[in-house]
Amino acid sequence: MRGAIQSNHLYQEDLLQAIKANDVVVLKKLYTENFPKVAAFIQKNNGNKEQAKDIFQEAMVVLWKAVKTEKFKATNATAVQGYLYMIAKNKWTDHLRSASYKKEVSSDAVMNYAEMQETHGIDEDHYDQKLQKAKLAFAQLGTECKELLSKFYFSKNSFEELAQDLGLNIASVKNKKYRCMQRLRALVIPQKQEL
Amino acid sequence: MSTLQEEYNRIEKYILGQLETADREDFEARLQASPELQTLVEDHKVLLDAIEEQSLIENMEQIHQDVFTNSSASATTKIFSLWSSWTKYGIAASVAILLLWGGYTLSRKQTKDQKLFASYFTPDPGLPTTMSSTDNFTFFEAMVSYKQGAYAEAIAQWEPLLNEKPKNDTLNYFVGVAHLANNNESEAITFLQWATEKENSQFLSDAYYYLGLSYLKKGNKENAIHFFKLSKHKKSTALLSELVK
Repeated sequence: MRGAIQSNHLYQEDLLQAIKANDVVVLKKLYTENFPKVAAFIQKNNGNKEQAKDIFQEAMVVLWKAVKTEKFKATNATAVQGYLYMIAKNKWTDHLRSASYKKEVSSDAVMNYAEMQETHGIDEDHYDQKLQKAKLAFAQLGTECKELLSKFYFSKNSFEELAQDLGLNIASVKNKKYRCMQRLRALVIPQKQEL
Repeated sequence: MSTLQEEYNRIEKYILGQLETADREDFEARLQASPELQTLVEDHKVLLDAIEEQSLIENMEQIHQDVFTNSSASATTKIFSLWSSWTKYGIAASVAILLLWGGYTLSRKQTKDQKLFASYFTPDPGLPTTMSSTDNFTFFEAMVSYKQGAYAEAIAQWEPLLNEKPKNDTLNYFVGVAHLANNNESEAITFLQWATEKENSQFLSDAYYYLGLSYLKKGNKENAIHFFKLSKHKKSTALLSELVK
């Protein structure tokens, strides 16, 4: 499959499959091919490189989520690129509008913990809050666990591959992964009490 | 495998759609009846989503640095092995030489740090193993193994207890030190970090000390210094003066 993806005749279906599978080669291609266009647009409209990066990455996340949940079903070969550009453009326009009456607020890129605690909302918000908190916790989890969990859940490595990587047997890798998840869980979810 | 671990296994398989039909129906019936289980499932799903999304974000940061930041050659080092497949895209020869040189100095530094580690590291003597109550039996049995230097065995005995009490400072501390004594500093770090979560833990200061030693053995001097500074262990000061001289 990867051979087909890397060739220039990239079919939309394959591209979507690859995004779903977090294929790092395809993600990199998508990023490098589309970022300059978005950056040019933002820089032409009162933005700087750093802002362009943030907006573009947010747009990538939106695309990625839409593909994963099958909300985005492309119909032609340039649809993905078009979609990315459109989201980034909208996000930047929103930002400019809000900035015109608010003083420079650095979008919602990094929501800090205190803010999260304060905001209350409906179910969806509740999920988003938890997700933000969990992302923050994962970012600070410590390299060992982070790398292991990332390889398993993001790169979709198998236990066998991880075992080989770490020079451990499969049972140990499973235990290690479990402990890392427990650690992350404890950081994110208030524990009633230990068993 | 503990029952809790098995339960989380099932939860994950359910979320990922990997349960066999019979198991799935079974699970769904339980899910209907148990709000607690529903919460566990929802929380687990959030964790899975967060790991993926944050990994994606960090992946993109790396791409950005590699492709769109000019100073990327000097700023590398934190290349996640995750992205190793990109190397086939070719690295300029100059960068390769830089890396080689970096690797050389790194390995020299490591041997020096490791010597320091070897001259300072002695495992914690352990707790007295007079068995008072039966529920601690497994714990102290493992402690006996630990004191005899059978670290792998001790770890294996403590592991099930740890799965039940993942945040217990005593367990995390001794499992961590046992891993370090067993030449597995990476594992040691995971557990020792846990042992430092409780601020009033009687193991806190020693846990910092062994964390420092773990990083020293790994060749991460910066982190080692950080943890030695936090520790009140009597050898920390001596180590610090060796490290910063």
